[in-house]
Amino acid sequence: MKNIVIGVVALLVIVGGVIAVDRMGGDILKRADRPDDVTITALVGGEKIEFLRNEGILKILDQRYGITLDARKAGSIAMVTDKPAGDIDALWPSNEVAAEIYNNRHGKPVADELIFNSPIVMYTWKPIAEALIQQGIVEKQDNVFYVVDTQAMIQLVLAKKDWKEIGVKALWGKVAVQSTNPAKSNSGNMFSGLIANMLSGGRVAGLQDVATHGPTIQSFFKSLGHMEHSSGDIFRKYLDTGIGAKPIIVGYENQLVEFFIANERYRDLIRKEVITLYPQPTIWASHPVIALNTKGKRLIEALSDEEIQEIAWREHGFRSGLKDRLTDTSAVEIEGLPKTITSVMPMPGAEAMEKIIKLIDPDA
Amino acid sequence: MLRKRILTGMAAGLLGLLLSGCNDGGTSRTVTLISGSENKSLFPIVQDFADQQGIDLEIKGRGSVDIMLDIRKGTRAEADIVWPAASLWLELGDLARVVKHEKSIMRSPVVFWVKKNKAETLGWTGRDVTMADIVSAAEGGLTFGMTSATQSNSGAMAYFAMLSAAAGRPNVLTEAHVNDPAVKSRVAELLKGVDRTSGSSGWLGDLYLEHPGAMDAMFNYEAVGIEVNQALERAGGEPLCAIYPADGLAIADSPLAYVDKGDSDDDQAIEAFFLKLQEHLLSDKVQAKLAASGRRVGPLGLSSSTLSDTVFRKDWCIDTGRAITALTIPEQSVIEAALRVYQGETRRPSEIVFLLDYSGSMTGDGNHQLVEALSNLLLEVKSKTFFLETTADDIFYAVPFNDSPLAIWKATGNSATSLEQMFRQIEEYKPNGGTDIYAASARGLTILNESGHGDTHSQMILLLTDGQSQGAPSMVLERLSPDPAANKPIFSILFGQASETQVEQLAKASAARVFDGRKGLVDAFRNARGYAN
Repeated sequence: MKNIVIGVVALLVIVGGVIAVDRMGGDILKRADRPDDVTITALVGGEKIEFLRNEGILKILDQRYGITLDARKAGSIAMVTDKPAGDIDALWPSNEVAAEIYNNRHGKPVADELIFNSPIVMYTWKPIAEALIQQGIVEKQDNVFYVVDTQAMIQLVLAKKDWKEIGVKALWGKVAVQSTNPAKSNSGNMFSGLIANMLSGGRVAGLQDVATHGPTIQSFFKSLGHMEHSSGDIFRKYLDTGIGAKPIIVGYENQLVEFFIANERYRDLIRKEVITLYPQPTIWASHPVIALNTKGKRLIEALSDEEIQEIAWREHGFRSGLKDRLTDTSAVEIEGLPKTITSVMPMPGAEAMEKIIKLIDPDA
Repeated sequence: MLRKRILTGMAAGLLGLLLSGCNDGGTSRTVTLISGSENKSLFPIVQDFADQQGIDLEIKGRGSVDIMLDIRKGTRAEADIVWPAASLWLELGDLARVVKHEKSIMRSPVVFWVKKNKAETLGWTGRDVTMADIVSAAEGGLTFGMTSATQSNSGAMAYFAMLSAAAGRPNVLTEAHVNDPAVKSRVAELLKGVDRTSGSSGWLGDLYLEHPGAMDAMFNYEAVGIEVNQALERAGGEPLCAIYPADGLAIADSPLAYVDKGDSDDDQAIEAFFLKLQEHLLSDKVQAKLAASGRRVGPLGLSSSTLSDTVFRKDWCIDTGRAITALTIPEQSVIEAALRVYQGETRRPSEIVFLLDYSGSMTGDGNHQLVEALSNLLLEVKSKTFFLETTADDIFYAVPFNDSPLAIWKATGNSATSLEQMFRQIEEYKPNGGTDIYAASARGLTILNESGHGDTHSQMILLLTDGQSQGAPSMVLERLSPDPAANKPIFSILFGQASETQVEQLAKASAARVFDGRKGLVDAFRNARGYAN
């Protein structure tokens, strides 16, 4: 750290006074009542790691709030089921059920607050989206691809249909919608909630529904084999390994927005090949910070900062989770992004979700 | 050669110092990067960058499963930086959550590389070939090489694909498939065709290049096959043809990740270096180099327009346009069960002669390390942790030697007691006297030649020695065929003052390798063991 400081000072001297003044302009960010410096250790869902590497964010955290954040990637469910280690100040999972589970298992935290929202979506590739439109499962409205018949999509998987049978000639094997491990990571967990809702005739699944459809839910996820542990990992592999290995995956809306914004020169390629599917209805992935001590509470205050919320949307695609704050979708130039997410349903309750997790991973 | 590299390194370091004005990137200890050997040809890119940054970096080649085992040690892991073939192994290994900043550097599918004329004879060019086709060709006598499934990603994936084909291509493998006696015996039959294995994919490529006559085909990465073909072409050899099993094999995504062991100044410097290294490897300039050496790069999927057809050659049956299907990776518990079945049951059994140096110089540390290394194989509690289980048909001989062979102890895999008894003998024996590796090797050859297991077992001699040997090489060499691949391989693990030239000569003459045990005898032992897995 000392070396970095020396390096920065040296750089400023070399580059010259004008820029130095500009760089020192960090003072503008400083508040008169800026608190003492603190390092906050947090377990964070993989989908927020890029956001927490954003230099603009780090700068505001440091200069306005005196916070250095040591963010460690962890699955949203895993981080609340295991008792957090003593050096952890805050947890930042990606759904409210995780906060509820924490509450049930370890008692009420010092504080918890919703920071962002992002809907659960599916990512696929053009030839597959076209085949799903032919099947009447997907419809394109106002340039947005909606999964209008999620039940039928689930049935394709359960009926072990070949890709070739539904018109995707280039692919071998069975239709699969791959998600992260519902027992370990949030996007998979929420998707399992969505599936439970769908199997329950489109209403929020209760304990009785979970008992009725348990075996179906189980066999759906069994057919996926090994499931990634983190939403960030599965999305990265989707992009890296392509249509043959990852035909359809479950993720968050913000993941593609973030990638799109960060990779300007690939935008045309993304527009040409990548398709975001919005299940109708979908489920919000909400991102609450669970503060385990007063340091964690300071993180909540900092992340509610207006400018941080602005950067979160413009550069990372997180819709604001704060009350009375609206997101301006025109600020992000990506196609197929709905202005508002109108069709949303709640997750099954924590008790039902714990049952679902147990069905899928008895060791969880 | 070594001296030249050090000088180049120093020059680069000095240059870096001049450019930066100060060298604040250094660390007080050597940084260890453990990588799959399929990245071997890229090591110089990494080493040069470390030199420029003034970082003392050591790169070790190791299979991905071995990398997983190292990560499982958490903050006590040997690696500071890991570069396995596939992120799966990091996920399975990272129980202590020490893996950070993981990013894929490049991609490469696992391919069945077949000698071109064989592929043509089989009618495999220009059509979809499934794993079932490959399995029946192997059952019809096509010989192939693969890495050890319990050490390396490509071997594990090839093995899963075989299991899946033998089980009738289910949607996903379950424990019931893995334990099904019919599936097991079919896969065991297939694995009997594997004459030579290795612990990691790059070494398998080397083995093929050194002895193209030893096999008709190999499961290996597209990238390694391209490098092998480039070398074969320069030498005027017959190229290999890439067969992408249509029903799916695997895609390596080669993630580079940092192992977070703490927060000391050293740790911070290593992390900073790691991030720079990752950025360097992902820079346009380096990515172009990777593409030129047969790696798939680019932002989306595998079929990038940037791949050159002078590297990804159609006449090597490479097709960058096809959608490459991956086999559904089974659940973690199934993976572990499958690997145990492989190690303990279905792989070709091995017959290994351990030649153990008990000369006087081994007294103390040397002897202690030797005993420790063998305990990993011979004591069941330890062998399980390292996937070093023995099959019932495995046969081991231990020959302690000094200036002549001193005893022959034998143990068989079907008896834990006999293995443990052999271990006690090894443990209790006391070093003294001189060293003659030739007399010992000659005894090893006699044992293997006379055992009658040449057709059923992977045979190897593994020499563990620290000595400058007396005696005459001719004593061994005159018993060997001029074709190295036809001989029983004499592998060596060196420690202490051992002469590299002496054991290297034996390895060369018998298509074997030499491992350096001085930086970790146990790991070297596991690497060596991979050649008879």
